[in-house]
Amino acid sequence: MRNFAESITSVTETRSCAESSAEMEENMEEKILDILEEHCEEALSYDGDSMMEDGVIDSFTVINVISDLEDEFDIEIDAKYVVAENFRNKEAIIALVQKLLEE
Amino acid sequence: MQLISYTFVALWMLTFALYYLVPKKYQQYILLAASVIFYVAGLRGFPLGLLFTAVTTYGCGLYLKENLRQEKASLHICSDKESKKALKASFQRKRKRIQILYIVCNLGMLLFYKYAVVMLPFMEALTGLKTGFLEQVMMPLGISFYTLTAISYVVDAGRENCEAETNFFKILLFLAYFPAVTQGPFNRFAALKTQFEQEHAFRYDRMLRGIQRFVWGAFKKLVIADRIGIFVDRVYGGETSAAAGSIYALATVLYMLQLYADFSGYIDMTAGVSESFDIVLPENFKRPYFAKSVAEFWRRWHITLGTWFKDYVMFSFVMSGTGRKISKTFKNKWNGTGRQAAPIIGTMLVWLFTGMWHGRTLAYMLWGVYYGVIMSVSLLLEQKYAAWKTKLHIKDGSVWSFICMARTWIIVFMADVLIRSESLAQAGAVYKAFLTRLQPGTILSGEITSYGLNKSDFILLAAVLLIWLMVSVLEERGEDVRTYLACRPAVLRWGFYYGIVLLLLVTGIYGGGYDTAVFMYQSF
Repeated sequence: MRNFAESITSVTETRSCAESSAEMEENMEEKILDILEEHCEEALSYDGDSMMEDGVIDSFTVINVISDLEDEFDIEIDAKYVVAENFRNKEAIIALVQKLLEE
Repeated sequence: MQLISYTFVALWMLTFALYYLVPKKYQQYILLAASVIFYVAGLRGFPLGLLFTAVTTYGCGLYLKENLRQEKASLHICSDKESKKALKASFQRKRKRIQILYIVCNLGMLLFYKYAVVMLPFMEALTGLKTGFLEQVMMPLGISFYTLTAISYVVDAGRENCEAETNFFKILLFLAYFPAVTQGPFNRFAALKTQFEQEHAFRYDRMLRGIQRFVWGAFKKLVIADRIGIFVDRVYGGETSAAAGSIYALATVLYMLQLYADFSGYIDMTAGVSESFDIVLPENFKRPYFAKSVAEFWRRWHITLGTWFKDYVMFSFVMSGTGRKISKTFKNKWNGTGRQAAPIIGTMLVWLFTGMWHGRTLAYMLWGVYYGVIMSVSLLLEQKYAAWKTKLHIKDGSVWSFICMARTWIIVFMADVLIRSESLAQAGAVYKAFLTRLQPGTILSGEITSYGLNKSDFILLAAVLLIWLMVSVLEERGEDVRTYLACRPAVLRWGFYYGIVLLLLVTGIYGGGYDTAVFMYQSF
C-alpha cells in the first residue's frame, strides 16, 4: 500500500518536475521577452534574421539588454557571445541564454 | 609612392597583369609582393616598425589560439561548475596579460612616433640631453592605420570572432595591403582573409569599374579638394584680423568639402584599385553631409574608424570588469538614467582617443571632447528629444530632414574651425570674427578673388560641386552610379567619363609649388 502511494507520489513528482521545467522554460522565455520589450519593442515583432544589421537594435540597446539578462538569470555574457549572430532575432537571444544557463 | 603618379599606375598595371596570369592560389602572394614594393618604395622611416607589428601580431594570435585550445581541453575533463569558472578565469587572465603586453608594445610605438616631436622640448629640459636626433625620427608609413588594424585582429582572435592565422605571410598581407596601408579603411581579418583566399577570375567589367572609381577619386582630389585648398590655405594662412568673418565662414565651409573630397577621393582611388583585384574593401564614407544627427554623421564619415572604436574601445570598456561594475552601481539611479553611465564614459573615452588619433595638438583633444560631449548629451536626452518632437507636432518630412541636416552641418562647421586653424589662438579669433565682424556682403564683393582663386575658378568649383552633389543624391537613393551610367545610352556614359577625365587633365591642380599628391589624411 505504501509502495503504491510512494510510486504514485514519485510519478506525480516526476510529472510536476517535467511540467515545472517546461514552465521554467516558458518563464525564462517570458522574462527574456519582457526585457527585450523594455529596451526595444520592435525586436518582438521582428521576424528576420539580421536584427543588428537591419538597425532594429543598436549596440547601446544590446548592452542594456545584456546587462538585464545577466542580472535576471545570474549568468555572465562574455564579450565573445556578443556578435550579430547571437542577436539576429529574439529566438537567437533565447537560445543564447539557454546555452549559458546550461554551462 | 604617391597614388597619382606614373610609378603607382605602373605598379598597379603590372600587379594586375600578374594577378590574373598566375595560378589562382598564388594571387594573394602577388598582392603581398606588390604591397612590399609599395611600402619600401614609399619608405618613410623604418620598415622595421611594420615588421615588428606583423611579427608580434602573428605570435600573439598563435598564443591566443593555443590558450583557447587548452582551455577547451581542460574544461572538457572538468566537471563541477565552480572549478569550471575558476579554470576559465585563469585562462582568461593569461590571455588578457599577453594581449595587454602586445597592445602596450604596439600602441606604445604608435604613441612614441606620434608624440616624440611634441615631447622633445620636455625631454631636453628634463634630462639635459640633446635629443636632436629624435627630430630625424620619421613615422613609419601607415603606422596609425596598420597598428589599429593589427589590434583588431588580436582582440578578435581572443574573443574567438576570428580564427588565428598560422601563415605569417597572410598576416603581413593583411597589415601591409597596399590599397589600405596608408589611409585605411580599417579592415577586419576574417572578412579580408576570405577574399584573399578566394579564386579571382579576370572580368572586364570589374576592371572597368575599378578604373572608373579610381578616376572619380582622382577627380575629387585634384579638381575639387586641391582647388579649394588654395583658397582655404590663403585665408587661414593670413592675418586673422584682416579678413571678414564671412570670408572665414566661407573658407570653413569649403574646408569641410575639401577634407571630404580629399579623403573620400583617396578612398575611392584605393577602393578602385582593390576592386580591380576583386577584393572589396569596406566603405569608409556614405555621403556624411546627408546625416540628420551628429551620431549619424559619424556613422557615415570615416566609417571604419568609427566601428573600430565602437568594437574595440567602447565595447571592450563596457564589457570589462570595470565597465560592468559601473553599470551595476548606477543602474537604478536617477530614474533609470544611471544605466547610461557606462556607455557615456565609454563615449568620452572613445572621443578622447579619436581626437588623439587624429592629431597631437590640444586642438584635436578639444575637438574630441567636443564631439564626446555632444554624443553623450544626445544619449542622455534621446527620449526627451523624442517627447519634445511629439509635443511640438514635428512631422518627419523633407523640411524636418533639412533642418536636421543643417543642424549637423553647423555642429561640424564649428568643430572644423578648431582643427583647420593654425593655432588655438587663431580659432578663438575666427569664432570672434563670426560674432563681431561677419560682414556677409564681403562674399559678394570682389574680395574673395584675392585669395588665390579667380572668378572662373569659383564658377568651375560651383559646377563640379554640383556634379558631385548630383552623384551623391543618386547614391543616397541607393543607385550605384557606375551601373546607372552603364545602363544609360552610350552618349551619356562616354560623355560623363570623358568629361571627368578632361576636367581632371585640364583643371586638376598639379603644380605651382603645391605638393598636391600628398593627401591630407596621410599625416595622421
